[in-house]
Amino acid sequence: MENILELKHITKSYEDGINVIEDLNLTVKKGELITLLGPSGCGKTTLLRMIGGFDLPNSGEILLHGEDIGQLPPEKRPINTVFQKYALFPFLNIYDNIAFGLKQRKVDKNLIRQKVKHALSVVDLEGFEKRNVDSLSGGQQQRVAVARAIVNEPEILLLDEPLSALDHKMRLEMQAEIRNMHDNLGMTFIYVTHDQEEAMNLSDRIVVMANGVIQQEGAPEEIYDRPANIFVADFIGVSNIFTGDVTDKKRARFAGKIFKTDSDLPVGTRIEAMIRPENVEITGAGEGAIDAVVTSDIYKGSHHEITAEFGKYEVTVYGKSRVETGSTIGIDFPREYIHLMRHDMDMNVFDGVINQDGSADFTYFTLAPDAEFMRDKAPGSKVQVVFESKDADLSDDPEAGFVTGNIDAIMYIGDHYTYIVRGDNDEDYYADDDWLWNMGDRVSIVVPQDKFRYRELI
Amino acid sequence: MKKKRVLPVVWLIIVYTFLYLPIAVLAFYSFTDASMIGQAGHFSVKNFRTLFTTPELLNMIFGTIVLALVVGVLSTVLGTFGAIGAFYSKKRNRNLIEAMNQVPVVNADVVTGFSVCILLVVVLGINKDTYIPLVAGQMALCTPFVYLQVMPALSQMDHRIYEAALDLYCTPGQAVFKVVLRQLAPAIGSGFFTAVTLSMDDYFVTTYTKPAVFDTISTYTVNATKGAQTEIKTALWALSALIFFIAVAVVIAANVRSRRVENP
Repeated sequence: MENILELKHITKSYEDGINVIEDLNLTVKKGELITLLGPSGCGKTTLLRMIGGFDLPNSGEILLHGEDIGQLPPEKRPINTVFQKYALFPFLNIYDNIAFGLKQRKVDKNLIRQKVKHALSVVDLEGFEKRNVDSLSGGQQQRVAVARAIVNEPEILLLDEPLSALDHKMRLEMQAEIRNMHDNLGMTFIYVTHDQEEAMNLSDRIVVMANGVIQQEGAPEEIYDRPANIFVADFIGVSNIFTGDVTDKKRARFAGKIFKTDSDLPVGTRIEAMIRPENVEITGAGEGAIDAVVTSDIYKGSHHEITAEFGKYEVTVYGKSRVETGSTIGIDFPREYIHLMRHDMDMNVFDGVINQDGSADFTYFTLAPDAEFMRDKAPGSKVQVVFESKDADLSDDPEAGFVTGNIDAIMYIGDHYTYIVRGDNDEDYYADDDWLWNMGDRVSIVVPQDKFRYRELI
Repeated sequence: MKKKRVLPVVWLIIVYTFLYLPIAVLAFYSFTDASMIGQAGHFSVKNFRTLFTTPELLNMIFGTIVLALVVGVLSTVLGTFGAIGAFYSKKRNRNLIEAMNQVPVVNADVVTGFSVCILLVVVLGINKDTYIPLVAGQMALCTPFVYLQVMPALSQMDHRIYEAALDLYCTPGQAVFKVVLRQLAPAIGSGFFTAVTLSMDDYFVTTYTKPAVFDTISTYTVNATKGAQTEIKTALWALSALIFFIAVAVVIAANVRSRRVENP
């Protein structure tokens, strides 16, 4: 299929200098329904706004049919948008709302009438021409917003969380309708959502984003079955994730056992193993790889959501029948369903809470974010801190750093060493250091104040 | 149960009597040939005839209306764009503008009028006959009220409609005029009416800043009622009654209209 839109090396930062999007590349094929999926603040809406022309990239190119449109204003782009909460014009009736763009382009009146009529039939709102915006339900306003955009026959239709204001049932209905409309119109749709289920239902292709970076792009099945990293695995669907390492050819140790896998990752690689709850097998006690004690069983209609514990691990399983809480069951991870991901050791990410003293508690340590960030943050608000491994150094002075631990693994990467430091509560830190330390050394981790990046979690 | 309802009704009757009785008396006497309130007289429309035939009175009424419209339009433009500008400013600047806007609203008109007069006429040396001090002074009075009417409408507006207009092939200018101002139109309209009313009501600012030969209804009435020209005085009763009837008509029309909008 022909490429309709190419984003090349897009970077966008706002006034405060923080990059929202960093060196992003993406290609959209003509006629596909592609979804930008990610948590709030991941940059997906900013990206959509740059495609629409409401924000301009700081650098990089946006090519439409090979032509750079990156600096054009919205009215010069053959792209239309369905806005979050619709943004209909309340002072115009439905007909005039839909005809607005055509009138603006001085299209012939009779042609406008035909096109509006057709657009209304596409969204299944025939006969609504004279109605007021206020007299329509949320779902109906949504359809008008779609009609107002598609009546202009844009090359690309952008949809910015268009269903977020609807209730669950209505949302499911509209998802199916948007998918139908897309298939009938043959238009390219770029859809933004934070709802992974919605993305799964709708898309030809999903682009998962976090912190302004594309984590993975692919068909819904691919993203669900073979997530590229722990973030994607965790964000899409329910998953069991265990850290571990590759011990032998096609063998990995995690969850306290060694499992056969189909993965070709080299021996010694730090990994995260993921298995979906519906792929975990339940056997009789003593018959599986692991024996686990059932802590809960919640009936979900189509399956039982069973949670079981073994050692310090917990596993979620979708079973067909009820199991007694407190009983022991056997559990197996079939090799074809074990998905291994290379452990990302570039970043350290911790979630925490603002405390009463105006600093932030991160379970294992406390940090004091700068005053700029702390302004208007109430105690109890959730925050996330990120620091890159390359900004973290090791010290043998326990007072020098913000947290202490023992060196658990050493990897030589070209010109420096990457260390995994196991904290006193079994948590892992990643740090790059030029010096060679020994396994088991007691160290503290030193990060300059300005290298901690804080983000409010919503 | 019944007893409970009597007191509020009595109270309301007392309040409305105090409000409307003076006007009713004035309106009644404007239709007589009496030369003083309280004096016996016969039914007559001579006061209205005087009102509509004396050139001095007609000029004064006409001048008041033209001044009110000019000040209304200018204040509305200034107040509307001021509100839009403040709304999209940084929060600190917006708060500052908001606070500064409150001062002329709360401040006594006499102070506003006197200070405008000092600034424009004494300090800057602008001749009162140019009408600039008068228009500027009344705008200083009216603009903050327009701002106060437009600001809430701006806060309630869905700001994506501006981007939606851009998306639908409007230039930024067209998007402001065709969509944003159109959406704010009711608020801008009521801001305009407030400005017109304030301009017509104003006495202090006008007294300090008007050209010597020009009078508005307010300044003229104050001077005329001091003098002894009985014919003009009684004609002003007629004018007062007329203004009152117009005001009542406008209020009724506005109410009927808003009821129709609510229940189409």
